[in-house]
Amino acid sequence: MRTLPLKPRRSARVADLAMKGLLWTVALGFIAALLVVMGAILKQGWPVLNWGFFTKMPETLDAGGGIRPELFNSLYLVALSLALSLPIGLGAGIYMAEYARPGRWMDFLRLCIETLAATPSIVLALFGLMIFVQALDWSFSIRSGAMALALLNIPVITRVTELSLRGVPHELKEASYGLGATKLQTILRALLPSAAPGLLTGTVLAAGRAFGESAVLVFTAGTNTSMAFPDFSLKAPGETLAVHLWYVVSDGTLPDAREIAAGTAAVMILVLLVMNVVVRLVDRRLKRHAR
Amino acid sequence: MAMDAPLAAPARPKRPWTLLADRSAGSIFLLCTLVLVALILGLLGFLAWRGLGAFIAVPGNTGRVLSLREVFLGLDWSPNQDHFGVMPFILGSLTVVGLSIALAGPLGILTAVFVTQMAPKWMRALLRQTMDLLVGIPSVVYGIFGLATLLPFLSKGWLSDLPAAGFLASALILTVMIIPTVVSLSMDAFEALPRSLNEGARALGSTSWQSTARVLIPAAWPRLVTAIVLGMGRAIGEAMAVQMVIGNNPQWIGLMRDLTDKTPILRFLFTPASTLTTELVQELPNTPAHSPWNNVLFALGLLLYLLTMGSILFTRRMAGKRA
Amino acid sequence: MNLKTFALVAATLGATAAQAQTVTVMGSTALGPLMKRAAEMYMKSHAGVQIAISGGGSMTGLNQIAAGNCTIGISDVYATPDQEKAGIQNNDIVIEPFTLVVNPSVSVRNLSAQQAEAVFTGAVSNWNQVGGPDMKVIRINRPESSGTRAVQQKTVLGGKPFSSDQLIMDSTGAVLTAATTTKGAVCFIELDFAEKNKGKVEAVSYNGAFCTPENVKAGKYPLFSYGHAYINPAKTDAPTLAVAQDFLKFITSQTFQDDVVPKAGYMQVSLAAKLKTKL
Repeated sequence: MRTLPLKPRRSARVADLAMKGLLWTVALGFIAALLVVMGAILKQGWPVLNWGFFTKMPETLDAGGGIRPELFNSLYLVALSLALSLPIGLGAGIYMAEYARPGRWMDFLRLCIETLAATPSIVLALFGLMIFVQALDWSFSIRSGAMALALLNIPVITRVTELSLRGVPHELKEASYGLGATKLQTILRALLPSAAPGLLTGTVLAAGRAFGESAVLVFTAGTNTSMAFPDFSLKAPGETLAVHLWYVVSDGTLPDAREIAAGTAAVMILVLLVMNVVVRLVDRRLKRHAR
Repeated sequence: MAMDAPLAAPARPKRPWTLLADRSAGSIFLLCTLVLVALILGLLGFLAWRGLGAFIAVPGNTGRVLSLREVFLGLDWSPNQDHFGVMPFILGSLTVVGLSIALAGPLGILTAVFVTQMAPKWMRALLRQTMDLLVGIPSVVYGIFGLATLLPFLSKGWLSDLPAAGFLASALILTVMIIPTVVSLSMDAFEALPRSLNEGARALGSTSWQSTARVLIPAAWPRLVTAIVLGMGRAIGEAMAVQMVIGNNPQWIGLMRDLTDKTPILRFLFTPASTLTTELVQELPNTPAHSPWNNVLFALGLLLYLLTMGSILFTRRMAGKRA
Repeated sequence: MNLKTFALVAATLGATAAQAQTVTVMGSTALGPLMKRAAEMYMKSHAGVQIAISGGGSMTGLNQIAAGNCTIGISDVYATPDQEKAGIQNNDIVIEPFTLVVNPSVSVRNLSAQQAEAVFTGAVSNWNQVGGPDMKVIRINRPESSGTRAVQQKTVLGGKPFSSDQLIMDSTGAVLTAATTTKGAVCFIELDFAEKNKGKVEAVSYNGAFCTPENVKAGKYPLFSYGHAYINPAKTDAPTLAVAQDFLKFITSQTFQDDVVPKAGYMQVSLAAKLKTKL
C-alpha cells in the first residue's frame, strides 16, 4: 500500500482487519454452499447411476425403473422450445437494439420484457394449463410443454440478443454501411456474427433453464411418458427429468423413490456441468476466431 | 472480414428484393416484440378473468360468489367447509421471503463488497464460477437436497428426530437460490460507482472497511435496494423447491396456536406451512373447474403476477431516480 | 445447430400423421399405474389402438371429461353435480381400500367408530384417552383436495371437520414416511402401502374389523372408495367411444380384475357389489 496522508486510528485498523476476515469467511462460505449441495447430490446419486438406469423404462409400481424416456423428453423439449423461442427472441432483441428509439415506447417494451422475464414459472404454468392443455385441448403433451417452455425462454433470449448486439463495436456497423450494405444486411452479416459468442452463451443459458424447469412442465407436459421409445409425436405425454424427480418424491408410491430421485438429480447436475464446460470452450474459440 | 476493404468502395446498386427485405425487416422484428407485449397483456387479462371470477358472478361459475374481505383477510383455508381465507398463504410467503432475504441480503452485499473491493483475481474468477453454477442448479435439485440432506440434518440437530419441514428449511434453501441474484446485482452497483469515491475516502485516512461502510454502501444504496427487491421477487415466485421442504399445511396458523409445547420461536421455524406458490402446485389440478375453490387459486396466481409487476415497476422507479 | 433443430421439428411434424385410434385417459395419479398396465395389455391385443395416459389429478380428469377434452376421465371421487350435468357416465373399475395405521410407539390396535371419530376431530388428543400410552396424538392427513380424505371425512367423521392440529402431507408416500418416523402418529393409508411397510407402521382395526377382502365382501369394513372411470358419450366421436367402452370392459373383465388388480394394491370391484351406501 502506498503511504496514506492520514493514519487511521488503531481501533479502526482492528475493525478493518476483522471485517476482512468476515468477508473472506462469507465468500468461502458461499463456495462451500455450492460444494455441499453438489457433493451431497452426487454422493447420493452416484451409486444409482448404471447402464440400466439410463436405458430402462421407468416403473410405476415396482423398484428398479430407469429414466430413458425422461432423458429423451428433456432434450426433445429443450430443442423444441428453443426452435420456437429463438426466432421470436432474436427478432425482438434485434428490434430493441437496432430499431427502437429511446423514449416512452422503448421504456414500455423494456418493461414488458423485464416483467415477462421475472414472471414466476408457476404463473406461466397456470396460463399453459388453461390455454394449451384445456382450451386448445392438447392434453398433457410434448406440444403443450414446448409452447409453455418457449414462453419462459423468449424474454431470456430477447435480453441476451439485445445486450450482445449493443456490445458490438460501433466501427463495425459504420464500416458495413460504408460498404453500401442495407440495415438488414449489416445486422445479418456484420452484427450478428460478431455478437455470436454472447448469443451462444445466452442460448445455452436458456437451454439450461429449460432443462431444469419443472413447475411449468408439471402442468403442461405432464407426469407421464409415452410407452413407445423414442416417441417423437408431439401429442405424446412428455415427462422430463426434472418433473420425474419431483413426481417420484412427492407421489412416493415407488419403493425406491428416493434412489430414483437422487440418481435423476445427479444426472441433471452432470448435464449442467458438461454444458458449463462446453460453453466455456466454445466461447473461448469463438472469441479467438473473431479476432 | 469485410472491414479491411477500402471505405470508399462505390455503393453497388441494390437488387429490388434486397431493398424489399430491408424495408420489411423492421416490421417483422417489431412483430416479434409485439408477441412479447401480447403475452404480457394476455397473461394479465387471463389471470384477471379467471381470478376475479371468484368475486364476481361470471357465467359458467359454480358455487357462490365470495367477498374480497373473506378471501384476503380470512385466516382459515378449508374449502370443503366453505372457508376460503388465503391469509395463511400470504403470511407464509411473506415469512419465507422475509427470512431468506434477511440472510441473503447482507451476505450477498458483503460478498459483492469482497469481490469488487479486495478479492484477488483468482478468487474473483472462482466466485463468478460458483455463482454461475448455483444459478444453474434446477429448483427440484435444490428440493431433493433439502429433502434428503437438509431436513434430516435439522431434524437430528434440533428436534430429536421430529419432522423438520417448515419455514426454516424453506428459507435456507431459498437463501442459497437467491444469493447469486443479490451478489451479481450488488456487484453491478459497486462497479457503477466512480473510482474517485473510494480513492478519496482512502486518501482522507479511512481504512478500506470505513470507506466501504461510510462511503461506498451509502452511495450504492439505491441499486442495492434494487438487488434486494429482485432477490425477493425470485424468492416469492419459487415453487417446487419450497414445496418439497415446507410441509404444505394450509392450516398452519391454527397449528401454531394449538401446539405450545415448545419454545415459540422453534415452533414457528419448524411449523409445516404453505405459501402462495406451494398451494398452487399442491391443489390446482385437484379442484373442480370454475368452482370458488378453483377461482380463488387463480386469484392467487393473479396476486403473484401483480407482485412481480410491482417489483419491476419499483426497481424502474429506483433506476429513474438515479438518472 | 439451429438448422438441425428446425429440420428435426419439421421431420416430426410430418411423422405424426397417425391413423391409429387414440384414446386419451386423464386424471387420478393413484389409478395411473393400474391404467398404464391395462393399456399395455390392451394395446398388445388390439393393433391400431393407441392409449395415452396422462395424470393431472382426479379433478383434472373430471374437469376434462366434462368438457369433452379426453376420452376417459379417471378419478378417486365421484363427479360433482355440476360435472354430472355434462352427461358423463360413471364406471366403477376397482375398490380402493384404506386402513388405519399408527406408529409402532402406539399400542392401540382397535378403534371403535366413535373413538376413531374422536381421534380425528380432535376430541381425543392423548392416546391414554382411548386405552393407549400417555402420548400426544399426531394426526397425519392428505390435503383438502385429496379424494381419499373426502371419503374418510364422510365415513369416519360423519362429515365433521378434521382437527386443524394435524400434519398435512402431499402424498400417500409422504404420509407413510411421516407415520413411520413420528411418535404417536395416526393416519389412513392405502392398504397396499400398509402391507408393504409392516413393522414400520401397525394396522389398527376399525370397529373390530381389519381391512381384508373378506371383511369388505362381508360388509364389515366400510373404509374404501371406488376407482372411477368416466366417459362422455355426447362429446366423443362414435369409433373412439366404442374403443373406450371396449377398453373399460377389458378392465372390468374377470381376468384383469383377478390377475392384475390385486397386484396393484386394489380389490376387485365385484367384492362390494352388494354395498348400498354411495360414498
